[in-house]
Amino acid sequence: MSLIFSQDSMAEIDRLITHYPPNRKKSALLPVLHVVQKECGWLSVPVMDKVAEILSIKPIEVYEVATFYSMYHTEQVGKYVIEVCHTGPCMICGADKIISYISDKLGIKVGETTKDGLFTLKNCGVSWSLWIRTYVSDR
Amino acid sequence: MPKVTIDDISIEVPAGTTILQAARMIGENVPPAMCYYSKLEGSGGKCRTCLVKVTKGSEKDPRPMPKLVASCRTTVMDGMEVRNTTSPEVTDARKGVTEFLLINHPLDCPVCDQAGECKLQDLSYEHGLAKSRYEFKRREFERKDIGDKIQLHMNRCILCYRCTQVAEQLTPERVHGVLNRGEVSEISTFIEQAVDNEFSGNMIDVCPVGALTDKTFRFKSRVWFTKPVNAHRNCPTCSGKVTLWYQGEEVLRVTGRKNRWNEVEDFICNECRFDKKETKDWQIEGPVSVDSHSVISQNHPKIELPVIQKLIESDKDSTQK
Amino acid sequence: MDILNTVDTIPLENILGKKSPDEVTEEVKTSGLRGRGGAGFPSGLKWSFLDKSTDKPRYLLCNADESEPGTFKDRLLMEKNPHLLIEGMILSSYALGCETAYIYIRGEYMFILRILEKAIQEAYSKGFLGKNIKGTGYNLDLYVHPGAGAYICGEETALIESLEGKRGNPRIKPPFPAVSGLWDCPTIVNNVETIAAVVPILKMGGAEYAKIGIGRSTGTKLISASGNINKPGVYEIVMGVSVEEFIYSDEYCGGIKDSNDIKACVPGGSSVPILPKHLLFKESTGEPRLMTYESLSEGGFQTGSMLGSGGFIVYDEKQCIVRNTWNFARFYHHESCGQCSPCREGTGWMERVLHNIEYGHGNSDDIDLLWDIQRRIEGNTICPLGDAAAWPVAAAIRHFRHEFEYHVKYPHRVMDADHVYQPEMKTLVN
Repeated sequence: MSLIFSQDSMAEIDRLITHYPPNRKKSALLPVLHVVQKECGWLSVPVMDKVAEILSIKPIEVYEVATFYSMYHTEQVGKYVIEVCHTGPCMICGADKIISYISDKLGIKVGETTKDGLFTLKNCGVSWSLWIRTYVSDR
Repeated sequence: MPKVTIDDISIEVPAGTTILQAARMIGENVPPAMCYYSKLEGSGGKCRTCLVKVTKGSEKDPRPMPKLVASCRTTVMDGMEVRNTTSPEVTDARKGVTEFLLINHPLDCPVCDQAGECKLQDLSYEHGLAKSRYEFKRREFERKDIGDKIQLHMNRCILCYRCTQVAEQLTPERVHGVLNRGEVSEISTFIEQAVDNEFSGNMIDVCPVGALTDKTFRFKSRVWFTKPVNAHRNCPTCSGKVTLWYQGEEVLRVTGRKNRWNEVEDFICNECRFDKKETKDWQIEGPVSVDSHSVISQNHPKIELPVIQKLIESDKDSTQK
Repeated sequence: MDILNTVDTIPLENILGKKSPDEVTEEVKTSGLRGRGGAGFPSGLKWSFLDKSTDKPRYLLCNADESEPGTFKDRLLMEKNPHLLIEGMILSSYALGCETAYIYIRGEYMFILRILEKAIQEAYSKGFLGKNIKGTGYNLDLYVHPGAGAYICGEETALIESLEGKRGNPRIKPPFPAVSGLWDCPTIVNNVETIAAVVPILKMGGAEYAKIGIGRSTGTKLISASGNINKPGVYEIVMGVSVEEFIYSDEYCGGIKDSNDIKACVPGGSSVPILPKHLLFKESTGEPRLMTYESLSEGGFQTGSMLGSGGFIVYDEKQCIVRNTWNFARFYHHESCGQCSPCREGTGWMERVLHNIEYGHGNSDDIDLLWDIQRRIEGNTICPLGDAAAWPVAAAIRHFRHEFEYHVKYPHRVMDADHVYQPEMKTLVN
């Protein structure tokens, strides 16, 4: 059975495609991947293949992009992804302590997901001290 | 026609020629090219082994270029002056690039089918250090078969992108590409999938290292024990012009015909490459002239120097036309 | 000064149609505005490179991929004053003759993307965007495009690739985007703050704007201040404020936290060279060091640094330079796109060597090895990420070599994460 995205997602995808010239549909790839990841929680192969079909591109073009950008999950993650910045400015203000606190509290190392599938702890190299992303559906 | 001077040798070249192409026309002091491939659109610029110093930008704007430039992607301007082997800065940068390309390379030449015709081997021989300064674990990938005739040995890959360009430009549907980012980038199909189309074998020919090898030739022989012979056949799919690699009476492998820059003259189809391994399949033209610097030449009768000179001249003529 | 934090703007119809696009460009040239993303290239000059000889559409892209550790000024500008950016986009697009423009915003700023989209909707409904803007006959569509977590997409050609739906691999130049950029069309990429500054420039006139600041550093600059200071945040300064005033005055950083002594400062985002205390407040000539492009880079990399993107990170005496350098190296290792060999292989190598030194596993050759690696990355890569990775390492060794030597010489001491090198320990190294 072929995968179907929700009506809301499809409406959003259709809107995003209009942002680019008709012969440049591939340009909508990054925003569209955000939309489907929000709905599906992560980017499985069927999800990516469906995106390729919608944008009329080859599946490998989606895989290449999805694995390049760190915000896309090509493996299943928890419902809540906790990302803690550990670059210079945050490190000197104690980011490592925050990471080890969360790590102890949840009993997981950076990059791991709790057994109940609720939380994933990640490092992010960005100017956020701490950041939690939620994926509502856990398909 | 713009005139360019490379290491004090001048040549006039058609507008739009790159420094590397101009150097190839001159025929000496040619920068090494690990990723550039003249027959693949958009190739080059990535490996950084062909960096040269532009000491004079052009007649009009004689300022030198502030950084070393990739000769494969820099177009010649009239009056441009370039230093390659005569610049210590270039030699040093090339040493650096060679070291970078080798730190994660497994150095498994003794068991690698590419040994003897590997461009990374040549590069290390000329620019490498005797001992690695890298003390960490090298990155490792699983060996993978992509299709039943081609093996991908990602540990050896230098990410030249040529094989993806072959897939993009020669085959109807590209199913492999570069995945992940940075140091852990890899050539992959992402999902278990065969690269299966009639021109896929050309990925083996364009690969500068032993990352993509011919499974039908795997471990059969070292290349320097085989004798290359040019041959052709009437092929409905490709030009049918190939090189057969003989050991005794047996054809061990079939490849495209490579010129002295290690580029194939024509891309060949998989039927010619993998399925036609009998002498009777082919019209034999004669032995391939092998550069005396190559280890493959050890099985060849020595060709006198003037003859080589003539060959180089005729090659130069054909490039200029 | 608050010229980027104002809603008091100009009626667009006073510019569009009244002034020609070339006149608008001329104002920007006169203003002396320089790119606020890091390189500091004169913006008017950049605009004049746009190839207007083809029939192809032209594009203006706003670079809102702000990802440099220590830089968070564009975030605040877009969050608090989105309409200023939109107005800047309209005026700039008009000057460049673009009918479509994009704001490329980093994926992590998704909530700001929503703010911008709402503001853009408002602009459309009031007739500031779309067809025949305010009856002037000028058309412009403006869209926001999210990235997805890649520092490299702040490099303009990687940004273009990413907008085209590809991996963020920088292109090999030439051709430059002004000739062949987005979808092979002439394209200009400008930083958020640069585009926002076009509004006050046209409001007060280029010549007036040029009077703000000192010398070739005209106008105001947003500085993101972070680290061990009392008042971290984003400050709009008139260029020319002294570094000392910026750090110690209550109007800005408010001094060092807990009244500690200052050890060093990275004045322009993680990629620019770190400056030790003795070079921070004074130029090599003895003149006070100012917050300007010229003054901060005075003396080259031997004694200077760069204004960069204005990510101002302050380190007090309790901070370990080796640890900080390792941290930056880890970032660049993680963010290298992997296309060209020096950056792909070299950034990881530097991180590993620095990790060894920081955790007490270094040896005496490692410092020279590091120097060698960074030297062979710098200038030899496709894009400036290689330089950005090499400079912090080079500067740290240049100015704090004794601290690296201490790490190598006393591995058992540095293994303790709380142990920090103190200046008096210098005698232990020699």
